[in-house]
Amino acid sequence: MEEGKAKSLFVMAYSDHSSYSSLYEVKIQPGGQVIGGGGECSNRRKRRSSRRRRVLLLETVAARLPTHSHLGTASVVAFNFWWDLDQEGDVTFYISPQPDLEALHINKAFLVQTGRYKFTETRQGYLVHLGNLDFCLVQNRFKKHRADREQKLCITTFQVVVDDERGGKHIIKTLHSTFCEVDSPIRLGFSFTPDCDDFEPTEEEMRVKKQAATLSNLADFDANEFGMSHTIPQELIFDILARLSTKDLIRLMCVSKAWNAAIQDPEWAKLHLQLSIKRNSLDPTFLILPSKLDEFFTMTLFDNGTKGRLVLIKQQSKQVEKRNKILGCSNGLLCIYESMENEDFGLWNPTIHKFKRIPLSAFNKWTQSKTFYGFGYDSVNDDYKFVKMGQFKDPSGVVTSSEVQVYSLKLHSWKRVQDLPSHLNKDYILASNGVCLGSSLHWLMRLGDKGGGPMIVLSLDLASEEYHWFSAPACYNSEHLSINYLDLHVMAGFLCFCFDTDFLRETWILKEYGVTKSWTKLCYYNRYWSCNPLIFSKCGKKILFPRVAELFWYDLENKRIENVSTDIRLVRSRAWALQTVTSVENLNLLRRQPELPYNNCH
Amino acid sequence: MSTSTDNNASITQESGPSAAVQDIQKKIVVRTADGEVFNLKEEVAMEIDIIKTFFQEDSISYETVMPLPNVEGWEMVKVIEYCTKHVELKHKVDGYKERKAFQALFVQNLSTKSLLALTNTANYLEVKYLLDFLCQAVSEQIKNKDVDYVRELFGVENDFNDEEYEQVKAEAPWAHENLNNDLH
Repeated sequence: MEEGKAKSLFVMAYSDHSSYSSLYEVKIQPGGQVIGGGGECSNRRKRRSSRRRRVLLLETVAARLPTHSHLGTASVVAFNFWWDLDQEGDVTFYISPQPDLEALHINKAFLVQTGRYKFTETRQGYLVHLGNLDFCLVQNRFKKHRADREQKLCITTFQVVVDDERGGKHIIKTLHSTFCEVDSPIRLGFSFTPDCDDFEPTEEEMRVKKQAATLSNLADFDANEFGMSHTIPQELIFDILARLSTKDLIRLMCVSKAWNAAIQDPEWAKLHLQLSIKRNSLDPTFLILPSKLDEFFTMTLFDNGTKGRLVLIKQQSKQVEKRNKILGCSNGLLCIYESMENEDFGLWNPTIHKFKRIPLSAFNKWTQSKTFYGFGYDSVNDDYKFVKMGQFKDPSGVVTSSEVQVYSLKLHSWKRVQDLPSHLNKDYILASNGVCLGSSLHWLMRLGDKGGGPMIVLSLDLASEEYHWFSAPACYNSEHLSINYLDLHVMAGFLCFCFDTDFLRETWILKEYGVTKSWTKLCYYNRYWSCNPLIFSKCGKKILFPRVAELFWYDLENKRIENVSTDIRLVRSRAWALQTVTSVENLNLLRRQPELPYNNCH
Repeated sequence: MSTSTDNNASITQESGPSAAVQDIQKKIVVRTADGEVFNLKEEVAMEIDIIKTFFQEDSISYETVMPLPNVEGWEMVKVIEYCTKHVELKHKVDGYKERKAFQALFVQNLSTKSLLALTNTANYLEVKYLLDFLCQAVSEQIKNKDVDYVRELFGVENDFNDEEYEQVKAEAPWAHENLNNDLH
């Protein structure tokens, strides 16, 4: 405790009967002793549901666990919470549990069970930060049986100290624990010391803050030049701007502070994205990426898909240049990497030249695992997520457990989600990386360790974090299967399964999602084309394939090829191994500065 | 008092191509802010939602001259031009090319500021397809234009100081390259 000054602690309590609440003030002397106390300044307030209170202190968040009454102790659990700023000013949040701090000693008289056990008892507790490493725990035991009431209040002060004798471990030093019986029935609301500027923002406050950065005051159009006396309404400016490309919009962020904020507003970006997707369905645009990403191309089809306009774009980021493999593509954002072993994945928004590294995250398990990944868009939360999935074998080689972690772009943090369903994990092995359809990622899993067994499609819903599965087409003879190639991909909103036989690549399409019977053979073609189809034609009878830097339509009925005419002289001189993906203009800047938590009462 | 049945009768007559019939059809009269008076064919007038709603009121007779205080004369001319063409093309099966050609001519001699004013008018008059077309036309005009151009067009004041402006610009220098700054 700090020398000299007595701390004032306020305990907000609610009466059982009505919305009548009172504020109790308690004084804590240096040394931890609690003196005085008493109900004061009661005022009417709406009843609030009690919330488990967290206290932020330096890098540690302490949370209260239930009291072990018979031991007269309570545990305090601490978490390490910290954030990491990388060179680009990008933040990643981490949280990890610390081993329990040693037990807190609570006044035994408070904890003693009196009376018969027929009493229904309510227990409440509230952890309050008093400054530095001083805390106090305010607890309430309220027993009620018919007309009988028993109410005890206990305040325990403690410090978190470093115990040099035990090698610098943090332990709790209980300073003082006092209790009293209280006449009127009360329930604890929350407790705080005013010196510490302790407050929790309410729902309304958080919402108001968000609205501030919207489209208000986009422009005050002075119409006097034309003799008009009215201004241009917001929605109209909006409508015009929404039709611009991302390059234009990024530039227009320099127009004024209001425009800057409005263009970065995620709600507006969402609308712009929807329009982009619509435009792409009318005039399909593709990104063509060479093996060295110091430049790339966009190809836009026009004239009913018979012609393509090729544009060369220079790419400046060194980070992007070396990552020339694509894990997945969602809404125009690409997840790229150089080596899966190094896990150097990053997110790239090519049309606005933004890149963000995905921070590393280790599995909690340390045994060998084959890790698979997936990248997709969660439309429910408007968030882009990167998933890492591992199956772990015991020393005898049997798969015994799994672990799945998800990185959220919006929250700048990793999170562990539920493991793979155990009955699947036992028998099936992951066989492909994830592809995104709807808000779910899909992986192939194969029965048994050796190739050739029946396969299923496992899906993870990025919003609900639930697993579902259904069969893949049982259409191939495993003896013929070239195990080199077997894959899932998404085309034009459908899940496709493709595999190579001796000379051919067959593609099957899931016409009705989740309905195994609706797997239909779409096409088969020379496996040396070595590519996957991109989109359907407007009439639905042709599919578009990329080949090197060109595109061609494959007519499903007539089995004929029609080239898309374009000027590919630009491309011919470039590096080999070109990949083609659908391009969508997306305003997501990938790196928005989140609000960092701040520390109070140091 | 002109009744609704009379109107219906004249509508069915209008669908025929006969020139004589066109003389009898109802005209709707509007007056713009600068005092100009326009006689619109009913079918064209009904394309303009604000006029349509006005005359749908039972108490309003077709003889009433509708005031349009927020519309200038030249704007009304353009709106009528577009709506007339739209009605004409409605009856055609494959008017795509013709429409495209007309649209190109329509915007040819309009400055971007005039286009913007016209867009505002189309919004006020509530002609959806014209509004959509004009928003697209304005966005085509501001594509690839620099920041000063857009500021001037929308009348927005620059509240960045020099340092702040350079900072924001430096976040994406590529966006300020390869611009096209000819005629306004």
